[in-house]
Amino acid sequence: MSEFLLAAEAVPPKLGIFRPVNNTVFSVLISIVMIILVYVMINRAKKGEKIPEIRKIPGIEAFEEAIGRATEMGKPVHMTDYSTALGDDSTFAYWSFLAYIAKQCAQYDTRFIATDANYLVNVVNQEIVKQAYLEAGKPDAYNPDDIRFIAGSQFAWAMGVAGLVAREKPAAQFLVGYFYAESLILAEAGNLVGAIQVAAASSPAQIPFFVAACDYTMIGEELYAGAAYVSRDPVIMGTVVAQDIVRVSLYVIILLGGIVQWLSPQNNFIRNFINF
Amino acid sequence: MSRTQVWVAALATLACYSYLYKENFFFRLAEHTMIPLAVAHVLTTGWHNTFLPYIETHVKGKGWWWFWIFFVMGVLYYARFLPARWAWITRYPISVSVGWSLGYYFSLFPRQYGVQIADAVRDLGVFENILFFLMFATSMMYFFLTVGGNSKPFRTAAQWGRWILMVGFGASFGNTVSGRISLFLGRLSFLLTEWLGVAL
Repeated sequence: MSEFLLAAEAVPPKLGIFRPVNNTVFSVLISIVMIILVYVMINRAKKGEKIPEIRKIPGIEAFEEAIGRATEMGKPVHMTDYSTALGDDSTFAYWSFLAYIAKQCAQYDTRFIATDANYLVNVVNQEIVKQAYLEAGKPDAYNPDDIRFIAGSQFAWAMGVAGLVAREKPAAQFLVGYFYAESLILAEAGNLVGAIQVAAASSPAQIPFFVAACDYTMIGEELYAGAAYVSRDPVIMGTVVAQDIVRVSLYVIILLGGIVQWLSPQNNFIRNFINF
Repeated sequence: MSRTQVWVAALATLACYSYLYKENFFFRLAEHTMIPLAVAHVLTTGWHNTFLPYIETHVKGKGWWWFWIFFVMGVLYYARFLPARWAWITRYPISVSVGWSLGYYFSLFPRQYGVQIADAVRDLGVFENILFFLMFATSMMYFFLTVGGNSKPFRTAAQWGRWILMVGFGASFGNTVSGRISLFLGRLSFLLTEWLGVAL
């Protein structure tokens, strides 16, 4: 075996610089297109120029409805995510929702509790919520003890959140971000205390649980679009619009690729291009 | 497991399940034991599996003194506990960490989607592939955020896509619930056989 390996020549890099495996050049090209589009769309959004409108996301109105209900009942609002890492795309979406919900709660003088499982994300969460209270003109109402790091371990965190929900009895619970096996534990904990629940999740395996146990669920891409929708931040708006343009373009490429594969399976130039 | 360990595991299991009745002292005891244990575990493993090996291998072994810069950056996270005049320093390690993580993910992600895109291009001469293609085409339309909103055929197709997604979610739900029941049965079997000594 080792003789064969020694005899095998090293595969040269594609175009002299890319790893000699499928999809590398195509992925770089898509990334470059994406970077340019994001740059253009963000700039257009910042200047107030026209960019494609993001469609209304079902469930967005539920945020205000849920916070309003908590305010009327004089109970807290609770928000959580498993927040796997600082650079995770879902964590960035979570932060947009966090800023929006914290600001709404601050304006209505409703207690806001956020829990998470990553101590680095927690530091950022505290800064975001503090800023939200400042923007709402209520810096004194900000309580850092309500923006809690529970535990890094998945089920210790889930247990802590379930216990907190049972004790604090929030009237509204928001489950935003990327979740794993704990999703149903959290959603059921909210159900037991009669909280109105809104989930926005990007993990395909956990969305079914939220659909079953929550009042409103935003699925997959709606998490990111919802983040743009609520924040109205031109940077996020521009990013989501650019992402959608790339998504539609890739969709067309895949449709054409399927047709070409049917007509000429031996020589599908579209598939070869994607695999390059 | 020793008899003491079996007792601890059994009582902790019951304490956790007692939540199903209502939040109570025993659940709180289990919760307030589990969380500090988990945090202590992360701290200890971080110290022994990350910090000390890095010091031994890289700082002492290879002489990479600049690793101490990352140590200092880590310590700066605690600056938020300083008086407000200095607390802003904590934003520097945050920004470096966020920037680094983003770069890391950005370098990893595009290719994995490229592989999925290539896989979605299938021969439409086969029935299974036609079915896949129709499901893919309609369910993807549900996630278009900026186009087609005003077109009725588009909205109808996207609605079909939503139904297909729901069927998929239902299958996933059933599959996971059966997995959870199997986990519960495992726990029940532990309580009955190892703890209570019932012969099954």
